[in-house]
Amino acid sequence: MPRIRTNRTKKAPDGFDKIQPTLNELAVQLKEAESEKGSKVSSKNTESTWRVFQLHHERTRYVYSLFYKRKAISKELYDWLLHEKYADKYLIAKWKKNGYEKLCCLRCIQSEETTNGKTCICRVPRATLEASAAKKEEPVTFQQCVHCGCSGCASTD
Amino acid sequence: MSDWKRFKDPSGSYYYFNTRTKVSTKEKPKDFGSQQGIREELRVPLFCFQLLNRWNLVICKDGSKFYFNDDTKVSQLMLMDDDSQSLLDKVDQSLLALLIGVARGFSLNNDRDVYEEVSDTLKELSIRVADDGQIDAANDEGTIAVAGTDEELKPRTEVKNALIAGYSSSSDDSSDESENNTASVPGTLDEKDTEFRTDGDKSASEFIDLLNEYKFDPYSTWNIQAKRIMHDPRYYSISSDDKRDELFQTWCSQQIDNLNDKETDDVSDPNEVSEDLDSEDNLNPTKYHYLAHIISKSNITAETLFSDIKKENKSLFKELNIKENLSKKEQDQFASKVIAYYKLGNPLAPT
Repeated sequence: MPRIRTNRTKKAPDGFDKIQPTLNELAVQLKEAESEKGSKVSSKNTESTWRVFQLHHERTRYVYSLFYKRKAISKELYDWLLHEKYADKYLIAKWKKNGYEKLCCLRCIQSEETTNGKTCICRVPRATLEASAAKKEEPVTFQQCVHCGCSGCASTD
Repeated sequence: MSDWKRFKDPSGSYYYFNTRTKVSTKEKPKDFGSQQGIREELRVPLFCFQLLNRWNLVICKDGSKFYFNDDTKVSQLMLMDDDSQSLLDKVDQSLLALLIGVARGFSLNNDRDVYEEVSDTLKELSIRVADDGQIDAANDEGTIAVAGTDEELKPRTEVKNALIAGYSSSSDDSSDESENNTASVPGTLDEKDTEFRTDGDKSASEFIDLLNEYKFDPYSTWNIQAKRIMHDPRYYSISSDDKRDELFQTWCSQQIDNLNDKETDDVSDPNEVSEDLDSEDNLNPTKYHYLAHIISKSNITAETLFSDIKKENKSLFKELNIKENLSKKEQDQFASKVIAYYKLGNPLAPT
């Protein structure tokens, strides 16, 4: 969620009007996702936040690609967007690191929050999952992680 | 059709039950199994119509139809002759459906001969088509031949018409429709095949063309833009969404490069004065430039403070956006240094 605009908020640098329609569209989608009623089944109670995580990722990825891939916005505007929290700078910081290029959300690499002290299953490459499943002669059961509904975000996938 | 039906008794063995006489036996009745024979009997040709180019439309007793060529003695389920197809298309489809219904045993209340009606309309249409053809290539013999063969065929079919037993007809025009559908399928399949056969580069360039065509916003995301072109078949020339996203990204960066090039051209084109201004701006890397200038222009005595200079040059401060470029602390720090420099006696400054 971007910061609430007040009188003290700095004026947006040049070029913001070009990306504003897309940001608005994403904001509308986020509002829809927020207002959606989640399932009452207890095993599905995590799913209500998945779409929010996805949209957060999408918007951050959008700003990231605008600056680093397409080179469409100025450094000034990029910094402003990060400051106004249109994009998650901590997530972008991870994307710059090797092996984290496709990271879905920061929660999935919080090893302190899990019981085994390891990262989320969506960080495991698909090939590794399949190899270990083949050893046990079972099909791969993993589909989406509980945190954000990611179906695999290893860099090799 | 026989009235015998087969059932399983609780022990698992079969027994036969006659639905009409309510008799059940363990032995297989003679009538049972004769349904197969009846079904085969149903595939007997019932009606025949002369089409163009020596093709015939044959409708069987069970409502199915096929096409037969007199010359080559070939029978096909689908009509390959374009002339005949166009002729058939001109005939009222509901009439044909009714004819198939009659073939399957649908009895009309009034003594209406559907076969006559269809054959008459076909004859008329074929004559008209032949007349059209006459203008180009005079061959009126064909029409007479067509009419002749049609009349020859009629008696045989009429005899069979009398043989129709009372079979109930369920879906009359369904067979017609399904055949039309199957006829249209092969063409689309072929197109898809050729699309898949094309190598990656070609489909990629095709995809880029698509992006250009729809005038996409290079400042947008793929997920939003993709909704606009999903209905286009070229969208599926690239199978995975990741690849599409990648192509979109590269296309966007290209577009933005082009836009930036244009803008820089515009800036450099007008005249040299603006360029000079630009270069002056470029030579202005320090944010203290304007502040230093203001201080140097104001007259500094031993008692002058930075706040005095600020008061005197309020309008200049505002004009040059000094507040936005420098924080108050930075201003104070820098100004005190500069003022001290002037107070100590600048050898260059006028005393």
